[in-house]
Parts: sequence; C-alpha cells; structure tokens
Amino acid sequence: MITNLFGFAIEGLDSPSFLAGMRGLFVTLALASVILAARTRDESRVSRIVLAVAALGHAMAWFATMFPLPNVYGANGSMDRENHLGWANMVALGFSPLRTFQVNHLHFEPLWPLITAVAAGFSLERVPAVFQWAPLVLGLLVLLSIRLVWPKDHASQEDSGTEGAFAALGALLLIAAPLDFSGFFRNPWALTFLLKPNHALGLVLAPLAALALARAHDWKSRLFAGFVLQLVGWAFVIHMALVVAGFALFVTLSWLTRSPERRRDLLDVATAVGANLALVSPYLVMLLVAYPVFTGPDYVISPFSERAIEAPFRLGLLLPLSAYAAWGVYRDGGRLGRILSSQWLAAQIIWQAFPLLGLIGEAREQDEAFYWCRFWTGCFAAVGLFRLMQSMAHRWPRETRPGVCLPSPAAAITLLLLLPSLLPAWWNPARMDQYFVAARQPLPPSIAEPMRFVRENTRAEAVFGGDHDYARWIAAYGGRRVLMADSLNAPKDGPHRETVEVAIWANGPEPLVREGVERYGVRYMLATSTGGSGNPTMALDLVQQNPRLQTVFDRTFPDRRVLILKVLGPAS
Amino acid sequence: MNHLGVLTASEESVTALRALLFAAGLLAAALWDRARPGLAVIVLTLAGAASLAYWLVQVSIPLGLGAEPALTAMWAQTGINASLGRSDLGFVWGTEPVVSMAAALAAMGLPREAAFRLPQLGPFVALGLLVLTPIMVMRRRISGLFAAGLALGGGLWPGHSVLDAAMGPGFTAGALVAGLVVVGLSTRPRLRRLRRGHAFSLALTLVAMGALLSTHSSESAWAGAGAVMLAGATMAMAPWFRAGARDRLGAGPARRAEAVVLVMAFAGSGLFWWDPLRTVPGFIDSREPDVAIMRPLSWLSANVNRGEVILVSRTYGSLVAAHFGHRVLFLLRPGEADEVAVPEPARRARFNRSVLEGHPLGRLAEHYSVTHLLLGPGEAEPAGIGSAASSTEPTLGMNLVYQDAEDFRVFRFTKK
Repeated sequence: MITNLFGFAIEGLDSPSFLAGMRGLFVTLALASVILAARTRDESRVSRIVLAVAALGHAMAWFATMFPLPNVYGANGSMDRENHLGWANMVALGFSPLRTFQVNHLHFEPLWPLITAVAAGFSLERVPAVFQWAPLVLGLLVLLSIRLVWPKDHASQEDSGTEGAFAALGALLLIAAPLDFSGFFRNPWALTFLLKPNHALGLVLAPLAALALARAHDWKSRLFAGFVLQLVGWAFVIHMALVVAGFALFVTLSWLTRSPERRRDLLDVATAVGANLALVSPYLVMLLVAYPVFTGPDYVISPFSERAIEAPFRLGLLLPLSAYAAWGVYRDGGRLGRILSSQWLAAQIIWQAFPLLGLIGEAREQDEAFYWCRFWTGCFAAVGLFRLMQSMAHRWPRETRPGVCLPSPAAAITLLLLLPSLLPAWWNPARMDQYFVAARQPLPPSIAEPMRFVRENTRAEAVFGGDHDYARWIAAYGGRRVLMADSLNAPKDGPHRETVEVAIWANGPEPLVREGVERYGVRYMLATSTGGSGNPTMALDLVQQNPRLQTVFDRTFPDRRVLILKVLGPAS
Repeated sequence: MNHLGVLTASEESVTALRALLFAAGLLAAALWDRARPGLAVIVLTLAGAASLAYWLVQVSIPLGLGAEPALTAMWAQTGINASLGRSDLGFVWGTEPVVSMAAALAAMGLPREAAFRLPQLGPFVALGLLVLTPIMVMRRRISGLFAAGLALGGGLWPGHSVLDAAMGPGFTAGALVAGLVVVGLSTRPRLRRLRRGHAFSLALTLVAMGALLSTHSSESAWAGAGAVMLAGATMAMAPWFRAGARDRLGAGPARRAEAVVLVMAFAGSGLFWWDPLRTVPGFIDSREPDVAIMRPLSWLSANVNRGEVILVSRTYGSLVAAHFGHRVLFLLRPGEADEVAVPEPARRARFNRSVLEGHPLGRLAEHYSVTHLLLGPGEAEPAGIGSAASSTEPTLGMNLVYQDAEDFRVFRFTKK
C-alpha cells in the first residue's frame, strides 16, 4: 500500500479530480468570504477575513500539492531538494550544522538544517515530515510578518489593518501567474515555499528588518536593526543583499527628494548595514573560503532574451497596481512606508539590471532576484487595487453597494477582483510543477533498496566514498555523509579527496588509504554500473577482488547495478 | 518538419515573437494616447493574430492524433465520416461512432482536411469574437474599442485566456453560435444602454463565475467558458474604468492611463505568454508528422476501396481511419484485448486467431469486410503464411502487396 507522509493511503487517488476539487473548494470559500466581508460592519473583522482567505489559500494549495505525494516534495526530481534533505539529516544525526554532508565541508546555509533538525527532534525518521510541513508554516509566517509590519506606520489611516492584510495576501498568493510554469524560472510560489522554504524564511525576516530600521533612532536601535538584518543573512544571504540594496535606494531617494530625515536615514542605514556586515562576517568568510564564488564569467544572458519583461510583465495589470501602491505608500506611509516602497523599487531595478550583468557574465542567482521582484510586486499589487477601490468607493453607483451602512465594500470587491489571480484558484501542480509529477512516483528501487540497507546496516558516523552522482541519495535517503558529491560545490581539497578515493578503489598506497579512513572517516565505498565520477575505473567484478574491500550489498536493478563495499582499512 | 516549422520551433523565435508583441503593445498604447483608438486596437489584433499564426502553423497533423486517446478516436471517426459521408458507423468495425462536432461536420460534407484544421481555427475565432463583441455591443464606440483592446488577450487577469479551450474541436462551432447571439444582442437597444451600475454588478457576477469555472483544467470546455466570462467581465468594467479615470484625472491624463492599462493588460495576457507546447495536450506530438506511416497509407488509399476494412494493430489503426478513411478492425496479439466492445467477441477472436495463423477464414473475412492486413515495423507476420491450412473451413491466402524500407507491409487476402 502506498501512503503519503501524513499516513493516508493514496493508491488509486484520482489526482486530477482531487486537484480540481481543491481549486473549486478554495474559490467557493473565497466567494463566501467576499459575501461575509461585504456584509460586515466591523473594520477589523474585514481585515481578519482577508487574512483568513490568504491563510486558507496557501494552506489549500500546499495541501493539494503535498497530499498526493508518497515522497518528500522534490524527491526524484530536484537535486537542490535532495541536498537540503541530506543536510538536515546530518544535523538530525547530531553532526555540526556548519558542515554539509560532504565530510568536513563548510556549509553555505547552516541555519535551515539546524531549524529542521530541531523541529524533527533530532530524529532522522521525522525529517521528511518536517520538510512536508515547513512550506505551510513558512507561508503562514510570511503572512503574519507582513500583516504585523504593515500597519505600524500607517496608524493614521482608517483601513490600515485591511491594507496590511491585503499586502500579506498579495505577497503570498499573487507572487505567481498561471503561465509562469512555462517560463524559465517557473512558478515562484512553488519554487520558494514548496521547494526552498529556507528561502521563504528570508521573506519572513525581510519585512521585520525593514520595521527594525524604520524604528531605529539611537545607537541601540540601529544596532538592533543590524542584528535583524544579519538574521536575514543567516537565513538566506542573497535576501540580505537584496534588502541592503533596498535600504541603499531608500537613502538615495531620501537625498534626491531632500527629505528632512535624510541625514538620519543615512546614519541609520549605514550603522545597521555596518553592524550586519560585522555580525555576518564569519558567514561571509565561510562563503568565500568554502565556495567558488568568483570563478569567472559563467553567468551569461543573451542580450536577446525575455528576461527584462518576464518578471514584471507576466503579472500584467498587477504591475501598475503595485507601482500605484508603492508610490502611495512612499508618499504617505511614513518612514516604514518609504522603506517598503524602496524595497519594491529596488527589486524592479535589480531585475532590470540582470540583462546588463549577463553581458559581462555575472548574472548570478537570477531566480532569486526574480522571486524577490515578484514577492514585492504581489505585495504592493493587492494594496494598489484596494487603494484604488477605496478611492473610487464614493463614486460607485448605488446599485453596486451592498448596503449604505457597510464600512468596507472596497475590501469585498478587491477580494473578488483578485480572486481569479490568486494562486490556489488556478494551481494545478500535475501540469505546472515538474517536482510534483516526479515526487508522485515512488523512489526507484535502485535508490530505495540500497538506501534502506544503508540505514539499517551502517553506523551513523560512517562516511561513504564512491559514485559522486549517487552521493546525494546516500545523504538524503540513507542518512550518511559522503566523501564527495557532484550535487554540491567541490570542497577545497576536492582533488586530494579524489586521489584518496582512487587509492581505495585500486588498493593503492597505504598512506592514502589510511588517510581516507582516519582523516575522512570513509567506512564504505559505493559503486554503480553507470560509470560516473567517483566510480572505479575497472570493472565492478574486479573491484570485489580488492582485499581491502568487502562486498556487503550487490544488486542489479533495471537501470543500474549497485555495489556497496566495506573498507577493511587500517582503522576499520 | 518543414522550413517554417523548423523556424518556429526554435527557442530564439519565441523570444522574437514576444519582443514583437511587446513592441506592438507599446505602439498600440502610443496610438491610444494620440487619440487613434481604432488603429491601436487594429495593431493589437494583428499582433495577436500573428502570435496565434506563429504557434498554429506548427501543427501539421490533427491535434493530438496518436498522442491523446480521446482526440485520436475523434479524429479517426472524423476521417471515416468524411470518407463515407455518414456518421452512423464507428471507425472500428461493429462499434458505435464517436460523437464530436468535427465528426458531425465531416459527415455533413466538410472536407476531411478542413475538419482536421478546426482546432487551429478555434483560437482565431476566439480572437475575432473577443475583439468584435464589445465593439458591436457597446453603445459608445470608444468604450467598445477600449474593452476590445483589453479583452482580446484574455482580459484583465494575467495568464488567463480562452486559447487552450479554443483548441478543442467543438469550440469553433460553439463560438460561431455565440457570435450569432452577440449579433442579436447588439441590436437590442436596452442592452446597449445598460446603466453603468448594472454593468459593474454584471462584471462582478461574471468574475465570480469565471473564477469558479476557471478552476477546471485549462483545455476543458468549462475552463473555456470561465475564460470567456472573465473576458466578459473585462468588457463590462471597461466603461466604468474609463469614466472613473476621467472623473479623477481629466481627459488627457485619463487617456494616458488607459494606454498604460492597455499595454499592461496585453503584456500580461494569456495570449502574450501562450505556450501551447506546454498547455495544450497533444500539441508537441502534432508538430511532426510520422512520414513513414504515410507511404503505406497512401498505397492503401490508392489501391483499396473505401468500404473495405483494414486489419491493423492498435498502434496504426486510428491513423488508417483518420488519414485515409478506412474503417479498421484491430489485430490482437496474445495478451491484448479490445479497448472498445466489438460484437460477437468469440467470433471475432476466431477470425483474429485464423489471421495470426496465416489462414484467414474466408467467411469471417467477408463478414467483417476485411480485405487487407497492415503490419508496422517490428510487428511479426502471421506464422503460417504459405503453409497448408489445418481448418476444414475455406480459408484465404495472404499475399504481400506492399513493403517498404521502414518495414511496413500490406497483405491482401485472396481466394486460394
């Protein structure tokens, strides 16, 4: 019987009907919410209704995607996801969060594996379930973050609570458009919340960083803003860089518009960013030491591409609506409004700069800039429509008003007009999400069976050498560290590790084999018949004759033969 | 694939198309701002039509034939109806006909090739309707043009459009009926003078219904109806938006705002970003015809009477029916079963067995009107061809009458 990670049997589930049913149910509930919002007299209740629609929409889209899956979302299809699973497994086993699943290799994003392992209670068995639930939790946290941040500087406005709720709704559910899946960067909601919830953590913290900066007025509060900013960095360093770019634009605009607060703005931003850099510098050092960040101009974009129009214009009229809101919030939203609007503008400018960076081969992390641009566009677009509806409310013909005593028909109509564009109303992962389709299939036996053997028959501290392509599955599904993995950046001593590996395979010089066992902890070697990097150069049958290696698993599957050998080295 | 097909299939050409569309959107906005609304809508319409042509010229065989089971059966039936001029015979001998608009039109005399092109016609018809409806129905010409400019790409909601559903072969006929209704409505003075408030209420109702129907898979007729409702809501809201903009901004800036709305709605529309390779089931497989099968089918067309039935495997049966209008009977290998219920299964199995043994029973061959056996590459020939028959019943001989380099073979059943 095939079950999903929630324990329900999913064999025979009519996936298309289930997904269509979830979409229909969301739209029905959202329409009921529109009616409820139109009939309420209580302004704060309207705000709660809008927020509830956002939370419900995210939860239903998450549920529609996760429920039919027998595996972790992204399994079978996403190398990135399997890397993350491997990292989290290592921390859950008690290894340092500062290391990847390549033994002794410094980590790029240590915070998320730590959080995941803690949430799993340091149990390897519970890590997959945490991965399934994390997108839901992170999405709801993004909602709360924006909703909490937004009204702080808008206290003078009557509808600030509702506006904040719309901002949260837009950031979460207007981040993507129905045809995004056919584009280069695919669906930002799925790629951010479902595939990389660690990046969504950055989206939770970024508005809080803006709030901290807006409230900064003395050294203590400025340093606190820097502290919040560095938390963004630990969550996802690219989001930190993007937030800093937004802060820089905030100061620039402040000086260009000759704002009376421009000196304060400069001081606050300089202090916060400086403190952040100081705090996050160990991480930056790790980044520079452990990763080939500046390896040359490999990130080229053809000057003849759709990049410039893809992020903003796929959202159609939502873009001018977001611009309208950004302008309005900048003008009358106080300091926090200016900071948030600057983030919107910076996101657009950064995206438009990418084709230029592409010309010199430095257009790195385009997908993250794309999603960042969408996040702020969606956030402000919902606000823009709400503001437009409010401004036109008094001009509406009598027939369109549900009743003269209603406080906020604008919210109800905004919700209704946004409904066809809200992600859960059109999200069809079976067609729009390749990772969903891949994860609907069980793991291939050539991965599932050997990894079951690894989990049940090897010690947690055992390190595996061998097939570098297979290595990420050893970490993700076997829960063991490896010497080298193609899915990660090569460690600085990568060439030496390869020498050690060759020595073990070929019964080579004793010192190298000893180093493999003692320095790197290699206890097992895994070879497959695919012949990729890390595999022995000789035939697998010959490898089994190596006196230092003892075959403990040998199975031939339809797609490959998998061989696991125990290293009978000096220290074994 | 022909030269045009190769050109349109390249990734760079998609980028070029979108660049062209974006430029057309900007031009239309500039024209609108300079008070040339008619020309602006013409530019957008031509750009939209060019975009549709770009994609649809790539379809070289009936959409989904051989790739999507339901569409395959429909096209096979359409081929039979067009060939026989009737609609009461299933394309598989002894089965009920597959009912569809395309098949019905073919039975009424629509040429087969024209019926096959109905899916390609659908998006153009949709574009025409979306442009013409507001212009015909709305009282103020300029509001009608503005609504047409917004609606032609799919409406105000980014990424939504009727195009996937319009590729359904029944869409064109349905849309033509809808077009007649629109023409009728356009003559109703009460509708043309619909009060702004009522129009807005109508728009909100259409948004709700459109959102609900759009939850269906985009190529379904339900989703098509939803997309039409969203386009309708766009049309209903257009005069309201124009009036609001004029009240707030004044005539000149309002026109500029309208121009921005036009270009942004177009640039985010389902038409602008349409990618049928990923959204229309069967589109990819319809781009490249299977040239190899066409040669034996041409031979069959030239040498076999239309009323005769071809015995063929399921792999090629639908193609025989669709392209050359011969009804078929499936040759079942051991372990295979009929997907559609053929009458008298025992008799049918007996005939099938006799063919596989190389000695078709003459009486049953006549009963089924089967005169030829088509075998594809890798399909084994009947074992006992040329040997003595063990049956006491009269059997037919099997003469190889066609064979090509791809290993397609045709055997004619002949009296011994």
